[in-house]
Amino acid sequence: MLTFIGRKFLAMIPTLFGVSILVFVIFNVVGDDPVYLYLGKNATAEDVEILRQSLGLDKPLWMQYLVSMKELLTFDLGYSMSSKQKITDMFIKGAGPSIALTLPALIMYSGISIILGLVCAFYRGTWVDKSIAVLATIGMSISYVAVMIFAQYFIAFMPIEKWGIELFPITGYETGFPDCIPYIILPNLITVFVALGYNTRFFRSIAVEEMNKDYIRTARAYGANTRTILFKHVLKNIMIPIIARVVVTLPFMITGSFLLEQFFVVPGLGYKLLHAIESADFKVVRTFTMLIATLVVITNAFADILNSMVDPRVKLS
Amino acid sequence: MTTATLEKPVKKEPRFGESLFTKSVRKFRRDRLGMASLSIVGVYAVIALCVKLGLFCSLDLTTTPVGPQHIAPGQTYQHILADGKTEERVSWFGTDIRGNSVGRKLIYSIKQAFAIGIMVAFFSVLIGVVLGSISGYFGGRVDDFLLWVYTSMSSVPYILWIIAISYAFGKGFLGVIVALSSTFWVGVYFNIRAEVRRLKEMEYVLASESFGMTRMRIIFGDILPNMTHLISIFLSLNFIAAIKNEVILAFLGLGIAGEPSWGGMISSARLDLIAGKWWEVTGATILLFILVMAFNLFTDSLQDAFDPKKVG
Repeated sequence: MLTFIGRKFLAMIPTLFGVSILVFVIFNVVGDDPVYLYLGKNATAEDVEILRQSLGLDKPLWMQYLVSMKELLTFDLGYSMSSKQKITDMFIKGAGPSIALTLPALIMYSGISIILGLVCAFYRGTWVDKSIAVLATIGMSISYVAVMIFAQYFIAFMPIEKWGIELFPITGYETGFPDCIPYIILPNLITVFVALGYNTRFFRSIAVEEMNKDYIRTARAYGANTRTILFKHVLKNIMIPIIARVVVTLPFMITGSFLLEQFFVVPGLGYKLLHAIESADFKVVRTFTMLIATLVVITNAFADILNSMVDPRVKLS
Repeated sequence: MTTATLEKPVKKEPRFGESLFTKSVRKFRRDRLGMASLSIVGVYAVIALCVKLGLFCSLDLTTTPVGPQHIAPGQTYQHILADGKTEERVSWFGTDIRGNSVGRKLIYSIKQAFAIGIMVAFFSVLIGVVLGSISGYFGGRVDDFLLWVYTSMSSVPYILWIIAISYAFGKGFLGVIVALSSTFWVGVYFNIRAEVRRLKEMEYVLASESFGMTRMRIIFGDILPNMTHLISIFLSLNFIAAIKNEVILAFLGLGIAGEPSWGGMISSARLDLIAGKWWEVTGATILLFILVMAFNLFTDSLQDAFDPKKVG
């Protein structure tokens, strides 16, 4: 087991190396010159030269890459070009709101969609199964952005305007645990709504496939009722893909938080990253991308380890 | 032992020598929901083609104002003719903030959606299939390298790649296409690679190899035709993903600028909705929803039709 864990973590190194090269190529080679983006069109040659030197862009590319790697490895990430904040602080402060905006939703929709998936497998082929499947497809087809706009209008804005009841604040965020609750409910509900369709379909197909296996037929032949089969046998066996999916989607929640933070003006990771893009703060963009990728790679390794613990069939090689 | 006395079996349908593709077409035709969704997609496609050919709702028409701004759907307005007279006209779908007809913009956006969807689906699947086949068939160092690129790319949430690439390539149509296609090939690559690795062990490939066929001939002549089902499913999945992500890109300010598109309409009209001007965002949402829904159902039916486990 320990060697397996060790090997998983060693396997992270080439991946992270690859990510760092890709990020570097996109931002330093393909992208526009960050100096001009940052200073604008009316920069004097002197300004350009000074900024170029202070960013280390006058050096050859391989030197720039090594310098950026050294910064990452020593956690000496430097300061933001526009807000002059320390990038590490920005990342840590932004992580809180991002997690608050998406983690409760992840737990909620995973629970609901697993239950719905099992219900579908239980009532396979009846109108219950069909209507859930149709609703899931409908939920999948609505645009994320449209859901946000209409949810904000109908749930937060209309009650205030029409009846003067403030159900949820329209935008904004407050740090600290009890204060943030009214601000995070609506974004979480939106995430649940958007993700429910995809996940219900996924868990339904897994559960249905498991129900068709031979051992289930054997259990049926022995006289076990459907409920026992569903919760005792099927759920235990589909736990493996469920865990894999939930853990793997964890870091990918950033996609949702990008849109939600931008829309509800929440100072999370996505919001800060987008602002860095707008203000051509390429250092923040590069570092944030790298840090998020690192988180993803680590979670993937954890997902593999967790999977091998749950499933004795996974080979430890 | 006379075979002549045996009754000849009644020949219903030519099941022998029926390829996977013709069988799937036959199965698909029986699927009523699949055919219905395909016809919806077909209607959209015809409109898109007509717009592309310039039959109606060309770019000039959609970007020149027709009347006052923010007319509600069904409301009448005074249209000033060239000779100074006014004429009463009805705006069926309302106008946007600049007085452009929302209806024309909606129709024009169908063409935009198809342009983005088709191009992104084509390029991402092309890259994915070519790299996946090479990686799966040759194995070894090439495979290691491509797999490494795959793991690196899939380790970053795809929205970050899209933003990073469209940031590097600039805004506009080209930026959207490049960003989406260079992100979506990843999923195609991984599945095609697995399929090629499976198919390469099959006897018919061995037969081709023993006949001395070239490797390219085996990959593209023998293995590729057996992956048509995977390729067509990925084409339609990536089409859906592309038009849905165009909205997200537009919302983040990285979409197609200057030309109307559903993404632009949805994201620019978010403040209009609070002011009570609901028609632009609602229209774009509904048209997008119907297209994506039909495409989703079509993809489901396609998957069912290509699934050999399901008898039809």
